[in-house]
This record gives sequence, structure tokens and C-alpha cells, in this order.
Amino acid sequence: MKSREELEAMARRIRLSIAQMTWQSGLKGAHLGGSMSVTDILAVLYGEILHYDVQNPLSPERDRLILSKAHAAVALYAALHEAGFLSKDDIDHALQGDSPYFEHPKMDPTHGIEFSGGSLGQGLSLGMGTALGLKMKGNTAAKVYVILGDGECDEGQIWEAAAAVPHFGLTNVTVIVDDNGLQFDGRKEDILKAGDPAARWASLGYDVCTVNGHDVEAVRAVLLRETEKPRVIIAKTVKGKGVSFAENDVTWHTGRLTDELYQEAIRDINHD
Amino acid sequence: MLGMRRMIGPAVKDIIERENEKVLFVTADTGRYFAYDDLLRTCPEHVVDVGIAEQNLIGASAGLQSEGFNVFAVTYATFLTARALEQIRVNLGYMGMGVKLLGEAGGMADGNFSMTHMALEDFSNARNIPNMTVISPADGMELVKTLVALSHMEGPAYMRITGRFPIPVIYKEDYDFQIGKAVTLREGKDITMISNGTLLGEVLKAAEMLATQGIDCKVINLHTVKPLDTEALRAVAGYKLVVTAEEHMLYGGLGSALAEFYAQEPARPRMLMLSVGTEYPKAQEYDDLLKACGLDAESMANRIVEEIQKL
Repeated sequence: MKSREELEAMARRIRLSIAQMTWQSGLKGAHLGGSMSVTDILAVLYGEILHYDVQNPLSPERDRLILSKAHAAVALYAALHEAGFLSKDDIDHALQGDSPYFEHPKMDPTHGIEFSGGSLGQGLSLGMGTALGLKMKGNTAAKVYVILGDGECDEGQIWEAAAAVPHFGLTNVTVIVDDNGLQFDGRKEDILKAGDPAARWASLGYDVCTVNGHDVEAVRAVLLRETEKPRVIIAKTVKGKGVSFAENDVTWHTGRLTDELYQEAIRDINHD
Repeated sequence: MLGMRRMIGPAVKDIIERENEKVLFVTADTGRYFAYDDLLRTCPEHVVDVGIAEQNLIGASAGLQSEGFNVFAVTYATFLTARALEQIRVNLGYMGMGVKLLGEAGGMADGNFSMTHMALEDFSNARNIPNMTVISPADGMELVKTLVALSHMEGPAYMRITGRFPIPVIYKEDYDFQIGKAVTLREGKDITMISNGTLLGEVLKAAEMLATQGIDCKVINLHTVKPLDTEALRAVAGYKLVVTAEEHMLYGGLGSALAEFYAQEPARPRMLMLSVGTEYPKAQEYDDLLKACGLDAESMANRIVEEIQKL
């Protein structure tokens, strides 16, 4: 098992890659806020939890990770680089020219990207279908992890799929909600109240727990916890986490990093 | 003879037992509508019902397809191709998942339920999805042949199911069905009528009526709207009139597909596009709807005679 320091160092490298990709994208910018909020979760998943084999990426036994909040693509690319699916060169060219690694990930299972994303609300349905397929085939080794945004949970399709997962007894599914409390137009609470999300998921038949999404050991602990139900982990996070000028700032949903801001971001991330 | 939709359940059961055991019947709470009872009893592991949730139907089908199944996603045509169009774009178009969409009440078959249950933009929506095959079989035999072909096909497809019980029998004997290969149902040298689905019953009657007035009408079953049988279309480009007939809005359907094709050809025929038009029809029984839209045999024949007089 990795130490807290090792996982935190991995998360730091992911944040540095996110900042680099955002900076090198130039005027286009990238979805920095929601990428930084999901970083520690991805570090724990790729550092410790997910079963994958870069040499045999299509192994039926592999765990399937679906980043439904696909605008956090740069966080996924950085994590896939840590895992060995993407090269340093891939990261250095992401979000530029004709790189296949653009603002939303495109399906490429040989490089660890199970499905394309970009249109919100669709990842849990894919996860549900995948998990049902695995169950039908008797494949109990592979698990399905779906990462949603809290804003994304406005989408009706999420709740169509949310009901189906426990209904079909898909205990191989783990849903992680990156609950950073902000969406494009403002605070989640101001844009569309969600009631009590934990109670909402639990009422459908999930094992629900809430965790500090930036505490790598806490995140690991809930992911390792045994349960006989499909799981929902509500990860309390900070949008823009690690970059002081972007933290909890709705205008940093997407943004571009000038040379000066990039240097400031690097200092923040290294100092954090 | 069963209505077309009630042939789906038994046909899928047969396909699972004889053709492809990877086939799944995935529906959004419309299984009974397709007479899936026997399928459910004998092959319960091949049936998935996601509830009244068409967006999830498409995403779940794509997930199942990615795990190696051959998914038939089955419900009302308009709830598939209009309500879940965004999911179809992303999952079947962009990602290329080879899910087969089977849409019931294509056109106006359930017109008594009002426009909410009519699929009048389905050709248009489905045609615009990259690599999507679009088929509307004419009768029960063609429906089964289409299903068998789809069960072995790689890419995404949409099959539109039309007509009310009793559906007309278009094919009296066995024939060679190929996706993308039009079938000539009647030879004629003056004009050509092109249609598909159960509406061909009316089209063939219209051709008979025209024959009594000395107009020799060829009838083509263009069961595959995409990809088009361009060879068959070029072969009739010299006719003085090509008439398309469809239970679809005027824009984007069968007539549009042909107009798009002919517009870029060196030789193109004069066209008459018979369709539902540009307004939603009022809720009525199917036969009354055909008349209201000018798609019954008599209305079509009269309209064609008028058009020929203008030439």
C-alpha cells in the first residue's frame, strides 16, 4: 500500500500536468477548476485502487473508469500519464494542434479511455450497461467506476441510470460524485437545489458515504471498504483546489493561464 | 398475419436461438407491445427492461454493446430517435457503438394517440448520424429478413416499424433481401413511385389506379434509406416523374434523401414528394390520417395525375 506522501506526490504531479496543459493550450484554456477538484480522487484510483495493465489494456479483467464529468479531461490525461497509458510527449502536446487529447476525452480503450465524453449526464448509463454486461458474462473481477460532477447531477439521465444500477443488482458499480459545490453559472445551491443527495442515492439502494475528496487516505479508505450494495462516494472538494487564485472561483470553470499565472500556479501546487 | 411490432418478440427469440446468441432485447417498458412474452419466458437472460427511461436505454445499450453483446434497443420510434437523439449522436454516432434501434409506430401508425406518438422526423434524425444504416421494411417477411441481417451487422442501425394491423402483404414469395439494395415491386415505363414500409400497400394500389388511366407506373421499395441504392436511383433518373411517398415530415426524409442525391447528378428527374407535410397532423385513426395527409392510394393517384398534366 502506498504511503500518504506517495499518493500526495502523485496528486501534485497530476496538478502540475493539468497546469501545464492549461497553459500550453494558449488562448483556448482548459477546464482547470473541475480538473483540480477531482485530482486527488484520480490519484487514489490510479495509484492504488484500479486494476489495469498498460501492456494488456483491453484485458477483460480490467476495471472500467468512466469520467462522466468529461470536461475534467486534462486531469484524466495527467492521471493516465501517471498510470503509463499516456507518454510525456502526449501531455506536452495535449490540447494543441491535432493531438487526440483535446478538451473532452475521445474513446480509446488501448490508452485507458473507455468511452468518449463531453455531453454531461451520460456516463452513468454507460457504466450501468457495462456493469450489467460484465454481470451477464459472469465477469466478477472487473469493477466499474463512474465519476460524476455535482452540477452534472442536474441532468435527468443521471437519475434514470441511478435507479437502474441497484435495480439490476450491480454491486460492481462505484459512483464518485466530485462535489465541489460550483457549476458554470454559480453555486450549486443557487443554480439548482439538489435536496439531500446522500439521502437521494441511499433511497435508491446505494451504500453512500461522504468523504473529504482531498484527503487521499480518507478517499482510499472509503474505496477499500467492503459493501454488498453499489456504492456512492460523495467527495467534498474545492473547485480549483491547489491553485489559490482559482479556488472556489466560479470564473475558473474554464480559464487560460498566462505565463505569469502559470508560474504562480506551479508555485502554489509545489507549496501546497 | 400479425402487426409488425408483434412479430419483433418472436423474431428476436428465433434469432437468439438460431442466429446469434449475443443478441439482447433491451427495452424501455414497451416489451409487451412487441409480444416479448415468449422471449422473456424462454430467454430471460436476453431481456433487459430499463423502465420508461429512453436516455438511459441508449447509454445502457452502448455499455452492453461495448462488452460484446449485440443489442436491439426497442421502443417507440419517436422516443428513440427524437427524445434520445443526443444519446444516439454521442454513443452510436461518435463512439460508433453498433446498437440496433428498433422503433415502433414509425410514421402515423399510432396516430390516434396524437402527434406525441407519431415518428415523423425519424428518417431525418437517424440519417444524419454518421455510419447509421436506416431501414423501413415493407411487410412481415421483410421485417424478419431485416432483423436477421441486423443481428450480424457491425455498425449502428435504425429500423422503423410501420403500419396497423392487418398490414399489407407486399411479398407473396421469398426473395433475396440485402441491406441497401432496392427491390422493384412493379415494372412500369412512365413514372416511378418510390416508397417503403407498409405505405407500399397504398402505393401499389395507387399504381393500379394509375394503370387504369393509362399511366404505367414502376414501384420501387427503397427499404434502405441509408445507404441509398444509387444504382437503382440512377436507373430511373430518365423517367418523366419520380414520386416519393412517405409517412414523414416533408423535410429530411425519403424524398429529401433522393432530392439530395439527384441534385448532384448529371441527369435528374422531376420529383413529386408526397409526405405528411410541414404541420403535425391531428390525432385520428390511421386510415383517416393517411387520407388527411393525401397518402391513401386514391389521393396519391389523383395528385400524380394532376402533376403529370402540368408536365
